[in-house]
Amino acid sequence: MDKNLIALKQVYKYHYTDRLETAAINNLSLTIEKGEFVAVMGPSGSGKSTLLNILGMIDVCSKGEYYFDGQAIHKLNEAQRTKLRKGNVSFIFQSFNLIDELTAYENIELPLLYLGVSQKSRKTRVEAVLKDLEMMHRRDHFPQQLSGGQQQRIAIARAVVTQPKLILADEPTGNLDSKNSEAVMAILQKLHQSGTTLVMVTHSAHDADYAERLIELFDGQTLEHENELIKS
Amino acid sequence: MNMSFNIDNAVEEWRKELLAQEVMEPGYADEIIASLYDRYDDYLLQGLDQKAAFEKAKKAVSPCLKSTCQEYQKVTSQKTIIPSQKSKLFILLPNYLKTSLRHLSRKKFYNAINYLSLVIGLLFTLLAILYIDYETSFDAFHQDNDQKYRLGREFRSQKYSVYSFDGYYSAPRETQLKQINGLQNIQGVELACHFYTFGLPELVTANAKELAVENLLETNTPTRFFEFFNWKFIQGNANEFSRQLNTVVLTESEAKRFFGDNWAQDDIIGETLRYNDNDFVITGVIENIPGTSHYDFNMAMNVKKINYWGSRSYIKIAENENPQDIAQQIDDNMDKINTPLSQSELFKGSIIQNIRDIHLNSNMLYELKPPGDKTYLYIFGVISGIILLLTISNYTNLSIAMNASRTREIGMRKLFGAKKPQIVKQFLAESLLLSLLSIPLVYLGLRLLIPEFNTFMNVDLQTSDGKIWLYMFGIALIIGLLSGLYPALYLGKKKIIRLFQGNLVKSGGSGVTTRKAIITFQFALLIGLCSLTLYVNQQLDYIQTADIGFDRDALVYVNLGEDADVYNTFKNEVLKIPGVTGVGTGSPLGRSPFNQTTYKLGQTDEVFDDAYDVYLTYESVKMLGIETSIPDIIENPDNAPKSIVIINETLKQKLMKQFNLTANELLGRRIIEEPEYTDEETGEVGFPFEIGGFFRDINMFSLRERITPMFITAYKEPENVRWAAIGFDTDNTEQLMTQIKAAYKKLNLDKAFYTSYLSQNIEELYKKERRLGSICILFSVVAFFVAVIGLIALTTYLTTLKQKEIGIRKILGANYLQLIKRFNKEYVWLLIIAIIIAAPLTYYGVSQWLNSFAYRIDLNLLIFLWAALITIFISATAVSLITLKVVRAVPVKTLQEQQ
Amino acid sequence: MITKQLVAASTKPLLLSILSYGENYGYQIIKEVERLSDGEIQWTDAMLYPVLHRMEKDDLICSKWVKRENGRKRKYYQITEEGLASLKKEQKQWKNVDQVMRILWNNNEDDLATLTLKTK
Repeated sequence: MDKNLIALKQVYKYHYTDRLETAAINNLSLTIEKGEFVAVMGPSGSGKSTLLNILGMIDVCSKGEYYFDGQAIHKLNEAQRTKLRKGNVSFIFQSFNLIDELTAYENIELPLLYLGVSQKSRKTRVEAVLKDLEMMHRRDHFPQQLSGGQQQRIAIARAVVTQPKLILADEPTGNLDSKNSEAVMAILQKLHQSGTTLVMVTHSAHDADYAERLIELFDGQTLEHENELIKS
Repeated sequence: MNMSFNIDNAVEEWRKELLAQEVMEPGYADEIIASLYDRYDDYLLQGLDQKAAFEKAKKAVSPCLKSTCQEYQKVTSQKTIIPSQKSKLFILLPNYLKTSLRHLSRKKFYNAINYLSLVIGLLFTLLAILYIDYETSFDAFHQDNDQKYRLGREFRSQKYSVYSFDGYYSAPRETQLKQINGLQNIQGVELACHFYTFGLPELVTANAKELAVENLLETNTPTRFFEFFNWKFIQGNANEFSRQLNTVVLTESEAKRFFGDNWAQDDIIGETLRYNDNDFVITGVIENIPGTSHYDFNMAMNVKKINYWGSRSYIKIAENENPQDIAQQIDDNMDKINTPLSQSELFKGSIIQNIRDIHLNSNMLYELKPPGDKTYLYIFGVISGIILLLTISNYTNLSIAMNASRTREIGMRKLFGAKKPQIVKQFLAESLLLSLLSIPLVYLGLRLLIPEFNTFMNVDLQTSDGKIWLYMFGIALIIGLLSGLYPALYLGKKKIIRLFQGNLVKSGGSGVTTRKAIITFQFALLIGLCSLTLYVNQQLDYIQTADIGFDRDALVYVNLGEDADVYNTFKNEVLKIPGVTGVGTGSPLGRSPFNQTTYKLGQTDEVFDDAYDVYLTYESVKMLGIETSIPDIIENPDNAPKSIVIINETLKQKLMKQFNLTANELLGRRIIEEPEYTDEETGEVGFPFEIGGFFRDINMFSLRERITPMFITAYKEPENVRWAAIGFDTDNTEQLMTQIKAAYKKLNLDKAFYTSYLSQNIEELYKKERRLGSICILFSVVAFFVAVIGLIALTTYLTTLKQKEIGIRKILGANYLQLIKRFNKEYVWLLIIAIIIAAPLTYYGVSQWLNSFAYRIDLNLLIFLWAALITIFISATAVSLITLKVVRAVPVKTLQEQQ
Repeated sequence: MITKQLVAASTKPLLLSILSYGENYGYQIIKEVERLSDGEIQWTDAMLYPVLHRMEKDDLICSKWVKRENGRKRKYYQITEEGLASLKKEQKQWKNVDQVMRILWNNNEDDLATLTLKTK
């Protein structure tokens, strides 16, 4: 059994503006093992978000190969990608992206609805994650009634409720103060410890320290470190 | 060698071994390892050394792989959840509804507008549909209506809905029955019956009450009458009615009028009722005649003979018979039905007409009810269609704009695996929800509106009808689906990445184009509707003010139906009343077309059949202000000859041209009316007279009818006077009428007093047109209202989005006017395109309608400009006010809001 | 020793009962059962884990990973609402069986008399 959850092989992603062709991802190869917690850092425009989109299968690479849990994603069409993504990949956003019209509970429940999970089982699962994240008392609050930190907890709960193979977090603490950031990072670490694979894009070196591995992107490529070169 | 034992290394080694097994998953391996550690610690405490403890623990936890791992896989595979393939609509629908309802209540202003617009759109569309349904459902309630036909005749060049008797008024019962039995004996005819209804009120006494009853029906085929028409008896039955002569059946409302609300308890069957010096036995009460019957009556009387010159004749033909064949057979057997008619040169054949066609597809003289007009149904349909389209486009436009802020929600749903159809379904469900929510209000609106509408349109739409619910839900579903379709597809097709990139409307793209297209479309509809309304009302204005050749305000008619003596008494009495300018009599004007007459010029052979014959006393001619070539005679009727015939300009021109004569040569020439008739005693052919003068054309009928040749026989002494025409010169018509009524009472006639103003008679001719005009205005106002609130909401929304831009412009020094100009400019181009679209279509439609008038306005193209100006004025006002409101906000504040 | 069949039948109610006292992990559960049965019931890892996994799949219990101070991890199992409900049902069934057996083995005359009467 392949221990790699993710394998990118010489991946390129081009963006087209008028006549200009810019490579957001430029010959990028990387692997992420199951259970790994990887932080992705880099200046803005270095392709972090594009990488996350490709990993999350909501965007496709222009060239190269992408294997997710052994499956060749680059060969799938959109419908197949959607099917594979469902329940296997979750996202956590900087701006939380909770649905304003739904309560905390309903927001967390939503992905389960799209998976066709039964009412009973949904209740068990949602309540379990709410308990884990100590948000049970906020279950019937709407997002705008919650603080940023609480909203992000709900967003995390929504991401983990499907027990995905991969969680992608795009600057999860970007909109939070330091206290809430700590709390959110602690939760992510706990997730990691329980075996979830995590890829987190961040600007904060402090957040990145929580991760086992750091991938630094620069101009669509990974940055290698001198000391690592010496080691090898 | 004693290598030191490292438990973690040993475990790691073993882990690799475990994972090397195909069925082993890392999660299970980790669990086993956790267990191994637990045992290991335990064994150490029991005194084993590290290695032994590890080996023993390893042995204890080692799985028999195949079976146990499969169990684990089942769990994990359930954990990552195999997406179920069955439809999730059932699971998701509660979530859709929840989201929708909360979204509705969150954006109250915009959704209230959407709701209001939906309610109005639905309401008026429904009203139109109910009306069209009403108009097209005439006589559908009779059983076997596909086999039931009415008979008419073509006589001269005109079509008659009255079936004349041999001997006309004087036809005895036997002749009348011979005619109807003759029809029934035709091969293929199963049933024939006839009747006649008298529209004018007649005095009837029953239960010691004397009341004027309209629409009395006389028949002498009582059994067959109730067999043919399936009127429902509440009390009594058709057998009793047919058993003897002089019986009567009342409608429920008439029974109420005479016997009070508790008539049903009072056992009125067998009571007598007095009419026209005869006693009638009440033998039944039937349900009221529905509005969708082509004729109406309040009392049906079984009489010896129908007291009229003809009857309404109906036949039921056998199944699979061709009605035209039947008509042919009737013509072939006319000698057995009406012998003189079969020999008449003027008889051009029978007309057979299904009873369901009478209301909308008939064009005969003397109809029972004013016939419906398909043109009006089309116009109605088009206008309500326009309102419907406005409603739908409003919803589309607003919901695209509003839902643009929900892109994140859609993005998240797509991330969770929602496919395009699921997003589409969600938004369709939302628009359906809104349109279904509008039903209670729509129903309430209908309950309020229908009675008004019924009175105004003189129809009888029912609010209790089950059909209403059917239509209401049907239309709500259609509107809901159509309104939601575009937004749903638009939002459903968006790529996930785009959905997280912020507001779709702000970021431009196709949304802007669609919005502009929809606004242009709305403008076009408004301009079309507005110009249609202007044209229709211009034509109505023309009708009211057009020179019709006589003074339309001159007269009021009073029913008399008496001989010259009574008339003269009445005349002398009335002339004493102050404000009365004169009293005359003769044929009333301002009426529907009646039968024409044949004529020829003396010493020529050609017979024409297109003239109307009108009799007026000299006073009437004078009072009407008809311009004649014999003013001296008209002014001094005392010195005038007993009678004199004058012909109209149209006939004068026709004869001059036809026979190459001058006007002077025509004077004194003989005209022979009805040359086909020869007096058997004197041998005189037709009814000859001399042309005594000419008169300027008058529009005796509505302006839809072209003026045809016409004779006026002006005369001094009337013989039988049906109508007295009273000229008046006062504004206090109420007092005048009281005095006339008093004079009428003095005559001691056993008659209901009945008057009609000439001006009202003329108005009556244009009832349909006037209704159309008012309905056009009403629906236009509604359409404008719907469109404008849509525009206001949209502008508000878009301007709110542009607050930052406005703020910056203001800081840079732009003034209000410049800003308003900027935001209005966007619409000017759309408006111009809209005119180009709307003008030709409206032009075509209006000219079709105007073509049904012989006399009409010219189509002034400037109207379109006016319509456009009205449209732009209303829209620009709305847009400007909204813009101004936003612009007024302090710039700093606007900027802050956008942060 | 207890027969294989009886072990199979009693595992689930036993597990539910143990977890109803609080969350617990595999080895501890095995030891607990051993202690309570005076060593009569000896569960193996190979038997226990598949049952736990099946019960988790049925939403009777749920699990979580907990990191220990020494860095090692342990998987804890927890009973769910549904598990508690299921336990109630099991208890009723077992009590019924237990009651019948008690009566039969106690040779209580009265009870046996009614028993025979009823079967007539």
